[in-house]
Amino acid sequence: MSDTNRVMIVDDSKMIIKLIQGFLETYNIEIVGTASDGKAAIDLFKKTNPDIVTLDITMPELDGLTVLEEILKINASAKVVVISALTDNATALKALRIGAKDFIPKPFKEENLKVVLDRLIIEENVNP
Amino acid sequence: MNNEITQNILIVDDRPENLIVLENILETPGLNLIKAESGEETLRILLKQHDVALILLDVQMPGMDGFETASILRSAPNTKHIPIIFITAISKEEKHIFKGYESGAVDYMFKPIDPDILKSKVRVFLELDRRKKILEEKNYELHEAKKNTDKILNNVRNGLFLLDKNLNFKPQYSSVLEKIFITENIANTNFVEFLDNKIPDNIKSSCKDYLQLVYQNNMPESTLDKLNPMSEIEFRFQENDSESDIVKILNFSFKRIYNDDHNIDEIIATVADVTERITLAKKLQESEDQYKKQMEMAFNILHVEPTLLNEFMEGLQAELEHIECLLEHTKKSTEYSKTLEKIFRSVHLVKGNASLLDLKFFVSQTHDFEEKIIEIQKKKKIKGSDFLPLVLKMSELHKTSSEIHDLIDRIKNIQTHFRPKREYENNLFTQSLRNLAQNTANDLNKKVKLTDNDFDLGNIPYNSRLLVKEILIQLIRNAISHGIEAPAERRKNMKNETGSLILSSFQENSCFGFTLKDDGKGIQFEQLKQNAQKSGKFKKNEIDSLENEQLLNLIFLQGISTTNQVDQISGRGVGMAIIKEKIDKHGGKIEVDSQPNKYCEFKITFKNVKK
Repeated sequence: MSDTNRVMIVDDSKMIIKLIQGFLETYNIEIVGTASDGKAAIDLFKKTNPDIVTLDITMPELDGLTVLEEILKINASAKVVVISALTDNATALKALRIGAKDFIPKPFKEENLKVVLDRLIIEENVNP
Repeated sequence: MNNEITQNILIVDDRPENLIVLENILETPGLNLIKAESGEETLRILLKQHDVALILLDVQMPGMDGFETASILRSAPNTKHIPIIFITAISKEEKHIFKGYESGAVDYMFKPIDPDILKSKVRVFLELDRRKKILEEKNYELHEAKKNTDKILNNVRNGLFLLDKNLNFKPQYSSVLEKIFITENIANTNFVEFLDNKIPDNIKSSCKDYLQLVYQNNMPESTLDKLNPMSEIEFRFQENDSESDIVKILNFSFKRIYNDDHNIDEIIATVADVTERITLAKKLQESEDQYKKQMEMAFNILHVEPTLLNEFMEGLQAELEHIECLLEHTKKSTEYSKTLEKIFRSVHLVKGNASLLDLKFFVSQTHDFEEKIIEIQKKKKIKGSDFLPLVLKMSELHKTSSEIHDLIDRIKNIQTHFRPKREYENNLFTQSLRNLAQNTANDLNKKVKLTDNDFDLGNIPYNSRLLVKEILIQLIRNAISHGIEAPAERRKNMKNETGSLILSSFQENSCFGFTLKDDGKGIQFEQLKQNAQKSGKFKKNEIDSLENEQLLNLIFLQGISTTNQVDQISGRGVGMAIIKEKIDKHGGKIEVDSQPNKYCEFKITFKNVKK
């Protein structure tokens, strides 16, 4: 995989952050940072401007959809992947409408993340 | 007996002569007796023949004994539902070692075998097997019906239509679509607007989001397939000329159609009417649930002696009528809370009786009922409409009650010749109390032994027995939940791990009665004082001035429980009040004696009524 890809992880579950971290490390993908709430996520995004963001859609205080809108305001071509419960398809659809690139259902599975990241990274390399 | 079907019974005993005896007792036309001389042979036979209505299983056998055999049968899906009657010479006291086998499909016969009792038990199990088969057949028919409609559905053409970029119907669509949608001339109308008032708004807006994403070229179809909000959606079509809506369950799928430039030109949608499939699946589920419940109930009531069951049903009927009468005659809002309290007492009583007989489905039903009442009681202001859920609960109880009546009727003629003898009746009475003690203790992870050597049912006049039993139920439950400590605590206090309950009865010149003594922690006066104060019925200085002996009387007041937890066993502060009220009503008296951490003893005395 290309080393130009820098990923930021946003999730209020420490376990999911660890899971994604572990996965990305085995593929040598650079992690620019992690955030566990919406406000921290926006600050981190401004500071690091990553290529890809994985974003938990249900978080306390500032919810995922708002964070998504803010991130896209800062960088319209940011690649955001939302992670949401399968039972909440309506929110996932809204996120995709707002401009998320893809979604990964919970319960979280590594292979789903892999498929989505592969696609985004290939796209990145095809149209730089 | 019904001769239409042959039923198989497997009889297992290591002694051939015993098998011959059993064979002689049971031989009946339409009945096929299969014999096995060991646990191993039993398993071998059941590998080939699953359709066995009942197994008579000797417990003491060389090699694999009856319990081992049973536990293996219980672990295999093909054999775990076969009812077993254990035949054993072990004393009745050791019955509890059979526990741990799930489901109620277990019964016991003690050697020497009474042919009449054996026959009657076997007939009941055969009747159950027959009912089970009938229900299974019904389920099978439903399964077949479902398969058929699935087939037909696949052959019927689904509705097809095309949507343009503005999500309007394109003019070409399949004719069956107008039938499915009960709408004509849909060309050029808007699909999302068409959904108006037919499906919930939130699904409609998800559908709009979804379809707009389908038109977005960069969105992978694999992602979208997971998010289709339009699968198995309930549609309501309003008919102009009829008052009621037509309800259909429709299944949609959407695919992109690309033009030569690899842009999305239109969306092709298919829609299938899956109403029948879904309703059938639902019906099937209901029928299966009903079947499970009936079997559970049947096994449950099999273990209750007919006389006790009849008593229970009569008592239940009386309480249900009482509650209905209360509901009907409560008109003023000022009476609401009092009525609730009365209903609670009735329900609580039924629950007590049900748990005595170990009628689990009644216990849980009445427990839910109590919870509902408590929920209403917590409201600041009770409205008349708050009583509605109670009416619902009543109809549930009525339904269960009539189902049981039905079951009783069906097995009645089988059991009529099975009349309990006098000594047997005494055993029955104390056995059911011992069961209650055991079950209550198990539920609370405690150990208890109820001793009734000094209890003679002959001391209690016939028409007072129901009353005495009701009182004992409550007292035993209270004693175990509040009195007897957990095993670890008992060990710490140098007591025997197993708590002791001693029941005895007496008959003197002009009166009769009984005592129940437990060796638990006794009445905790401090807790009692606190609860009395919390109840708001007393002031602090009033309570402080009471002697221990006077304090004891507080436990008979409604709203003062001796515990601070509410569980299914007791602790709602009404149990003792009910007892007191009952005893008062029958002109009796209740005395309590207790020493903290040593014992608590209740003595109940009634006057003999002269004939």
